Amino acid sequence: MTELLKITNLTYKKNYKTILDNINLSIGNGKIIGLLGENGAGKTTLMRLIAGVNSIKEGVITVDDKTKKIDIKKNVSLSDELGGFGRNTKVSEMVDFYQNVYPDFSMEKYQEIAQYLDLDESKRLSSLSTGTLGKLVIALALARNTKLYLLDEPMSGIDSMSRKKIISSIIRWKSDDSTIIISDHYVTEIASLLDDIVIIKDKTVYEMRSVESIQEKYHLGVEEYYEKVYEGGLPNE
Amino acid sequence: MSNINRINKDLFRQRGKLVSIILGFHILAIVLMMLYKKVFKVTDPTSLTGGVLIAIITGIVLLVISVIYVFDSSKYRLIPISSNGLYFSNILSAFFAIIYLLVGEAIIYFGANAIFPNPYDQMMIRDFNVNQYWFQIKLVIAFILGIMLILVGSVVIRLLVSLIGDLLPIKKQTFATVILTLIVIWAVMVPFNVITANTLILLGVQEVTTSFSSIVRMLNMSLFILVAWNVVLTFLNLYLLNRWSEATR
Amino acid sequence: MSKVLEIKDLRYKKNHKVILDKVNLSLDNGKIVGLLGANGAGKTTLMRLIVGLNSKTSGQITVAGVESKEAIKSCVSTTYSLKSAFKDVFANSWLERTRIKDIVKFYQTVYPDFSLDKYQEMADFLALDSRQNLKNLSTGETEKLTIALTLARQVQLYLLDEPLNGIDIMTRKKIIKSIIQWKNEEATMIISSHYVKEIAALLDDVIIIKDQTIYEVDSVEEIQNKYHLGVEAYYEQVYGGGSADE
Repeated sequence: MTELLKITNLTYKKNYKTILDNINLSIGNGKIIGLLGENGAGKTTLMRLIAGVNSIKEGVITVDDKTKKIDIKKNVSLSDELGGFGRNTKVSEMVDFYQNVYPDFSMEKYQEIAQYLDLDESKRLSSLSTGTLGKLVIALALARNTKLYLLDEPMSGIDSMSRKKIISSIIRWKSDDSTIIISDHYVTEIASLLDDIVIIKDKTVYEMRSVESIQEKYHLGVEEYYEKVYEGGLPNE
Repeated sequence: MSNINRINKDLFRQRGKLVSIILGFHILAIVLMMLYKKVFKVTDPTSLTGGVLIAIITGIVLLVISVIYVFDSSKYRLIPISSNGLYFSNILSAFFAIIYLLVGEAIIYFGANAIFPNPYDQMMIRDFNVNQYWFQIKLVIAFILGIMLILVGSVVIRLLVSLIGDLLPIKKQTFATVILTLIVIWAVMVPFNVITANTLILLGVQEVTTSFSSIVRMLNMSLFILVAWNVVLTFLNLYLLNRWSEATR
Repeated sequence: MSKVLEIKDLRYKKNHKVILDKVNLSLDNGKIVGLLGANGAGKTTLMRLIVGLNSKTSGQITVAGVESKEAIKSCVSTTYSLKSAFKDVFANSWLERTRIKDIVKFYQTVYPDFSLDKYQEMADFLALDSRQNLKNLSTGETEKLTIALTLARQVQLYLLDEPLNGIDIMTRKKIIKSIIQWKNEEATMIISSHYVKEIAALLDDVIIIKDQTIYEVDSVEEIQNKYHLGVEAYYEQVYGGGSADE
């Protein structure tokens, strides 16, 4: 199996405070990976570091054997909170922007996803509800044809009807050889999607293991296992 | 009544702090300037009037922001107190903050002049000391009333803009809000000017001469009109606040 | 049993768009009620109308028998006060440094029904550090503080608007626990959340908002007995339009 993402000895500090410490991680092609950790554990920071939005202070991140930021940006699609767009922007204008700046943005794929999620292109950002906004973020992120997708809490604050649609669109539009890293606080809900989980605890990667092995070894659901890890109730071999 | 006292305590403390910070910065600025002049042996006299003006304007702008914020904020709108109570508490604390600011600035101004005398400001002080105490007091009152009118007027404009913005079928857009604010300010200013000018004429100020008595009469008229406008706009504010306005933050 | 909340023919329009229409609701004392609805259905608007942050277009809202906005504010505790404190113009600037301590003091001065003892108990349970600066709080800590402050007031009606949004599971469990532990018997609590399953165990009744109005108010038991469905499944069915309306 080829390694799509490889992180070695990554440390990130901000204002003299260590946010992430000595992260080592290696992830293969064609997987869906859950990134779990409590509020403030550093999940978002890690994703932003991988995508090259935050600058790496110490350590190396390799995506598809490339370490240059430009090459990494070509291969990574990070779900964007769309904060950079004015509240007046029309959905169609945002789609145009994506099409212009990302050569791998597939209009057809976007149209398909948008149709499935009932997105209205003529609306302005300010008039979208939280649910619709979440759908738009997903549609834009998935419409790029890249090897690595980073979805940062794509379902936070979204009603359960929209959540189900978002989950099914992730399954449907993920290409076989691409990898998705997804973070969410409702682990049970996304558990069925996941191949592996990465747990962040105490500023570093506590462990990475497959969902199967959790079930086999501990006879636990992903969420229970994750909680146990945080409560320290698990004998770590 | 006890609830009004509760919110008064918070607002008075907050605004007292705001003004104290401005005064502190002003003192610091004067000290630094004097040190600079001592160290580099600059002998040109420097007037302190500009600094006082800047401090007062900064204070007024910050107070306007803070007064408007109270009406926008759920934090204050949720306090169990009537809208009228909130309004008066807000305006009253701003009023005392202004008094504090003016008194503080006066002390700084005269104090700095006593320690670092300079010819410009000594001339200003001499000019003002014309032994017309009654006139001077009125002048200060007019000044304070003018600042109050700025505060009350800003609230009127804020409330009107959000009311009209809600009634129009436009989405809250920054650009539209800016345009709307300009239109409302203009719409408020037109009747304001017309009514004020006409009242002045009605009250008998046709010719403005430079004689002292006509200046005194002019000042009396202005005082009257300032009070009248403050009262009228306060009633408008209370109506808007009770019936229409919503917390936006 | 006395009614803690009564709403009659409530209507709310904004920018010529009807947000809520013909809302009628009546809630008893001592209940925990879930407020459910899709994003943009008007849950937050309804809560803000009850407490008087938005001004209703027409209709009547009575809380614990009183109708004046001022009186209502003294018998309803909501999560909005703290949310707006985060957007304070001067807070977090060099002019003002707001610590948890300062906010607690504000609550204490402003709300006569704020119980410091109760707040302390909850803050200890939720492990809140009162010296912390407001702007340094993580999402989880913010929500813990919100809950502690909101519940520390001794009132008849609590409105909790998405108290569990974006919060990790460990914190969520603690928040739910503290809701159970510190809610007093006679008070009624309205909670909105998108994770219905998680709060379902708490709930006595659910209110479903759909199509700008209250689609229905049902007790959780009734839903189970009548439709043999969990609350979440039932709610999704209502929105899917699949529920057979008797």
